[in-house]
Amino acid sequence: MKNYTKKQKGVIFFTIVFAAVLTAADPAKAMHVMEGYLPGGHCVLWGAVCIPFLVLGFMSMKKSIAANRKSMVIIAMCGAFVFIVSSLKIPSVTGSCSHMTGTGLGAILFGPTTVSVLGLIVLIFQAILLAHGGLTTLGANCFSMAIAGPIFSYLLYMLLKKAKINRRISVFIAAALGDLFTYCVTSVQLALAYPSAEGGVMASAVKFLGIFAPTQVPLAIVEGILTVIVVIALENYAKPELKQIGFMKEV
Amino acid sequence: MGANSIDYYAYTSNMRNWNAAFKLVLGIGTLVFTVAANRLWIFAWVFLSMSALTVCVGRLSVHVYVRLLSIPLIFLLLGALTIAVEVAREPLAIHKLAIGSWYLMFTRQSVSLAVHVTGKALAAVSALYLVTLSTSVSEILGVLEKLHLPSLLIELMHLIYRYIFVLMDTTVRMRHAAESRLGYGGLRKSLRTFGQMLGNLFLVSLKKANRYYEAMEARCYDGGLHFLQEEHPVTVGQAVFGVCYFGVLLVFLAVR
Repeated sequence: MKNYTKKQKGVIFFTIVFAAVLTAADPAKAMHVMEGYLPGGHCVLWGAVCIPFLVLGFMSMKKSIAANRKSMVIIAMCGAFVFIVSSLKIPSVTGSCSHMTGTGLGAILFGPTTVSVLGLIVLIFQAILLAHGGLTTLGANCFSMAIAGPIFSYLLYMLLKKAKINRRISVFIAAALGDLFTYCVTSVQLALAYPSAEGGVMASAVKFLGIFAPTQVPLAIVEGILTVIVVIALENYAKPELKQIGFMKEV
Repeated sequence: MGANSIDYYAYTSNMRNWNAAFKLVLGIGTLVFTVAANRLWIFAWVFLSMSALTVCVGRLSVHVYVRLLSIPLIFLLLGALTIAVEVAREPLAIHKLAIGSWYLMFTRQSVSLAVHVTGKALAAVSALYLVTLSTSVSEILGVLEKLHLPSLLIELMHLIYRYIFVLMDTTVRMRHAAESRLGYGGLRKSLRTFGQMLGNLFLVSLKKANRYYEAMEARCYDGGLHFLQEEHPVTVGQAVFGVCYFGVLLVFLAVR
């Protein structure tokens, strides 16, 4: 290291640390805003933003349970399914362990209103049982993963379906872009909490997007591919069950 | 979710017999306090006291505790790095990296903010762990029920908590079956196997839901689920400890 200038040494050190962090990184876990990471005001604010969506989801859930009591058990099973999907290690090239978010799959299968409430419950369990995310950051995580991401996925999926695009391609696009959108929302949330002293919120958002991009972009693609495989498997084996939860009405 | 999960440690904790509401007030109260506080030494105190409670009173091994603390490590490192790096058009520090007309650098303020946020997050996590490593989910739900959250939500959470273990069991079996048939050889095959496994899991879970509903109906399910809760009154010692602990925190907050 003697022949290097101080600046070069700095750059080398920086890249080594960055590479080490990325190799060990767990993208899905990395995008849960950690416990205690947001200032108090932000925690309350994001929680408040979530409430209307959650109330809406809760009402529609209550209605379907009042109409058919059995849907209670089915909704609970779906919630457990989303939890399992998000807690399983997915196969990856680098050997680092990563998880699916399950946002796109949930939104496509169950619709965004149900997913908002299920997402909230899953996030609470993830915080309690897996230490992903936290209780004070529940509002922020709920908004990005259980509301913004699923709604974006769902709208995209509906739009592509209207445009008569192949179902597999539309599922892939909806799941992958929904995942990317979730990560953008989280980055903006972090940037709003910690704006850059010079460049403000925008510069900070770019920083967060840039640092998390190497882990998140490949994950979004893998998530898209996996969601397509799941949907194909379901179309092949589970048509009656899919009709039961309202997916594939038209088939 | 096996023998090394947070759930498992919650059930084997020495603090398991403490009153659940008391533990929640202690942990979440400290959590809220930590988020409101802004001194590094307060974070250090919260972290040390909460960790000491979990490890010494709860009798969790230090090794396990450190392993659990490392779960959010990646987020912590990446987040701290992002906050520490300052982006600006003018060079603000001696060590800088020029990218086009922009500079990346560490400034005194940004680094101190990163350290501050990291300390706060670690303290908050230790407070969360005090609750989750000593209180089982059903006890937490029992407390939420006493807070009069909608009963539908509580029942849903009870059911989801139970089904998580049922589905996890199924998943492990399917994974073993696929692995023993070389289903996870190579990335392409792994992705295919994994996706198909999830599809199958969904199918199995809906089938199970139907059977569970039949089982519940056979036992006179009429839209309400009732769970037995163990009662653990707060002892005088615990109450005194809790009051003293929050008293100390409030004094800390008042000190400028």
